[in-house]
Amino acid sequence: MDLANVKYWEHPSKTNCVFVEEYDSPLISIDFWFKAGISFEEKEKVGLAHFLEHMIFKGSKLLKSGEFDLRIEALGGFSNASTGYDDVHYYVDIPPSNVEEALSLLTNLVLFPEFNEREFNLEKKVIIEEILQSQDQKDELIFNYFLKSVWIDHPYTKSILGEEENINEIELNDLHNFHKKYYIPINSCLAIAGKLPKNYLEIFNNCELRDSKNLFDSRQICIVNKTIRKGRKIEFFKDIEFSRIFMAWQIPSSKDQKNILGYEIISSILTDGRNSILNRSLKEEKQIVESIHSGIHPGEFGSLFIIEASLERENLRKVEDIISNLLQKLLTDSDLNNKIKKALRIVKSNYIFNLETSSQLSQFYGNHLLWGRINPQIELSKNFKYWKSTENLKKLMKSLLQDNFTFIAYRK
Amino acid sequence: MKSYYLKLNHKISLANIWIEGGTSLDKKDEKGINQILCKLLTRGCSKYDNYEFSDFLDSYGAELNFEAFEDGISICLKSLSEYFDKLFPLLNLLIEEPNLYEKEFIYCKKESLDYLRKSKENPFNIAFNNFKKIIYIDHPYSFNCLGEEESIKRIKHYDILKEYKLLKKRKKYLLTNNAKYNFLNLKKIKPLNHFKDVNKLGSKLLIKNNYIEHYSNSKQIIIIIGSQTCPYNSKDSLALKVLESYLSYGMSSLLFKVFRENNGLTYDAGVFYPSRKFNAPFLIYLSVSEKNASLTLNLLLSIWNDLLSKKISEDELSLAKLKLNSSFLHHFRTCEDIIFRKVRLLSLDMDPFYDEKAKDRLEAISSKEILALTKKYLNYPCISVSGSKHVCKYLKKIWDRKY
Repeated sequence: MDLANVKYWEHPSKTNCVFVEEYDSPLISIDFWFKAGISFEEKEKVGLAHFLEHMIFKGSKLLKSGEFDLRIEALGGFSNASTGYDDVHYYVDIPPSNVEEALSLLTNLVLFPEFNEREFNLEKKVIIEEILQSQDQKDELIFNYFLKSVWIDHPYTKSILGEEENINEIELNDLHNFHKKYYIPINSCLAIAGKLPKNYLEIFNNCELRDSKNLFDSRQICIVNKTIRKGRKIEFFKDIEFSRIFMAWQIPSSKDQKNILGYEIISSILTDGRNSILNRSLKEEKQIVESIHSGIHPGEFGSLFIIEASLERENLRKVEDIISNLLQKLLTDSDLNNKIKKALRIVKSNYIFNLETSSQLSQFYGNHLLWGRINPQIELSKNFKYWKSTENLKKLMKSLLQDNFTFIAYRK
Repeated sequence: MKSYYLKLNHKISLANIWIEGGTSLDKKDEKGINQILCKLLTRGCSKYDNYEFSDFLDSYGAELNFEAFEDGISICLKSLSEYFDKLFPLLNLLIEEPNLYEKEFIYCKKESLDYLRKSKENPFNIAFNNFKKIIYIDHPYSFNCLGEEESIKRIKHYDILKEYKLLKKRKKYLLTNNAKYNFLNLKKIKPLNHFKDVNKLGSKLLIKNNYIEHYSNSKQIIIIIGSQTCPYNSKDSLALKVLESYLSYGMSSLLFKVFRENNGLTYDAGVFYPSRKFNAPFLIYLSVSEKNASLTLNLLLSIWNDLLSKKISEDELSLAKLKLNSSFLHHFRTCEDIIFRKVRLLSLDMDPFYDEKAKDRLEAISSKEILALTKKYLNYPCISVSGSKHVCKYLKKIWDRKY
């Protein structure tokens, strides 16, 4: 797949960088990634990674609280951050003429933060408000319950935001320690996409990044051999209009991009478009679901293939049986070749649609680089070729005939 | 149909059709009919039944996105450029020769009812729909875009066929980034006059109640405060966009600083000021835990009072203008976003390059002008709250003391 011109480079601090040339983009995206998501939190410090992400914006050794936002926005930029299960990233979108200043502000903010007690206590309140607000988003609420139930003793059972009681127990020193331990060059990467200035290497070479000497190597942290539950679990929820069903299968982690793509293609066959197998049967013809979706919940330490439906409570068992039945029949479907061909085009188009802007590109290449995947677009092209084979895909489909975990959210 | 071309990204091709008159054209006892019609248009046309139509799109990995808004229906076809010429004729077919079969109508009707029901899971939707009811009274903008349950149930197949006949007569605009069709280059059209100072709902608002509440089991209280303003093509709207920027764009904005940074009261506080053909709402929304609700409302009322009585400082005004100007770049980045924005501006009789040309006009906007506009439009705000009964009652007392 011809996505963009990509160049990899290592900063003197040992921080890996990726530069993605996108000539048409009016903005440059600078995306600073760290292996410092919730998987790296200690068990009793749930919510710490996300709390730190909030606190990073409270100032640094050179920037007063609020100064970073003000200066970036005055440069015509926009900044934000996001914490995930495995990683956290901080990004700025900026007009090309201001890239040097924005880079300097971002690296200073993220690598050299200074926290104070007052800001810490105020932000604690903000995070508790965020937790309460997320409980009104019923899809998110139910999905978090599902994740909590599906994995056995895995960091992915935790909620990214944490619970109110966890947040109250976090201390200022916990943030310092987490930052010191994980926000280091060996654990990070910088991704930059857009219309790069001619002297971009000079600009990046001169930017101040942390030294990597004598610091903890987070690669020592290893989360392996975790499995998911099998069987069914039911939870009751107030204030939902439809019940929900989640059927989950454990699949390889994001390290195995070939199989992840294979499951994306299977997902497309099952639920993309009105003619897809599950959509046509359950929504279009029988009309017994309000919606049906499938997809991958990818993680560096394990992934899930999920089929999710929203439906009336009385149809739960019927829908579950039909899904199992249709998955059985898929392997002997006489039209499977055509279905695969169509799904390949849909998935390929989606990749191109979703890698259009500089921020989408910096996110894609940054995340892959962080986890050691260089030139993911080359791998992607190879993998698309591999999955053209019906026999290859059939082997993968068989894994969905094995025991799974089903989570039911009953409408109270 | 007026059709235009705009040169953009070459890998992805798009065509967006805007059909004038959306859910605001729903008759009083047919609330939801344009939403159903919008869905129905995409469920088969000419020789293609629903499945064949969908299969054709999927076989090229294409997307067809459609939505009925207050002012119009948007239908957008998107594919890789190499397949676009095979798909493009479908757009005309689905408008000129839709099948509109009864069985598909029944399906769409059920889907509308399901959407409407599911939207009630989020208390914010309920608070917002309540807010529209009090600020718009009987105007079509007062109704939920998704329709109303009893109305939807009453809609028959022949009602849809009648509505389709009306839809065919409505103005339509098409904009594509694919050069093959020899459409008029958007850059070559004569710029239209942006500014119309017409308050199409009438300048006097006969608001009966300025407070509405909804009780929910949520642990948070949702507060929405605001009023009707002006159409997007009014000369006042750009200055109100500056006000929106001052209040809510980025982490340097007033709402972020007051509610989040300085007081730790809310996670999310923002402004909603959409582009509308008729008077758009201008509102501040936020959600807050019960224990902080009264402090938050008092702070919000104090901000509202300042908007009506104090000029924004010169520094704040400059920053707000700068943020607004750069927001055009940040908000419209994908081909789909750019095409949608420009076709929408065309439908409002505005210059499609309004955003690109905003800088000069922004320079002329003063704090004095913004203050005059807040007095003109925001002097009689309404409030919608959602949350536990006892907190809503307490907030009402605070509100009643002020308004």
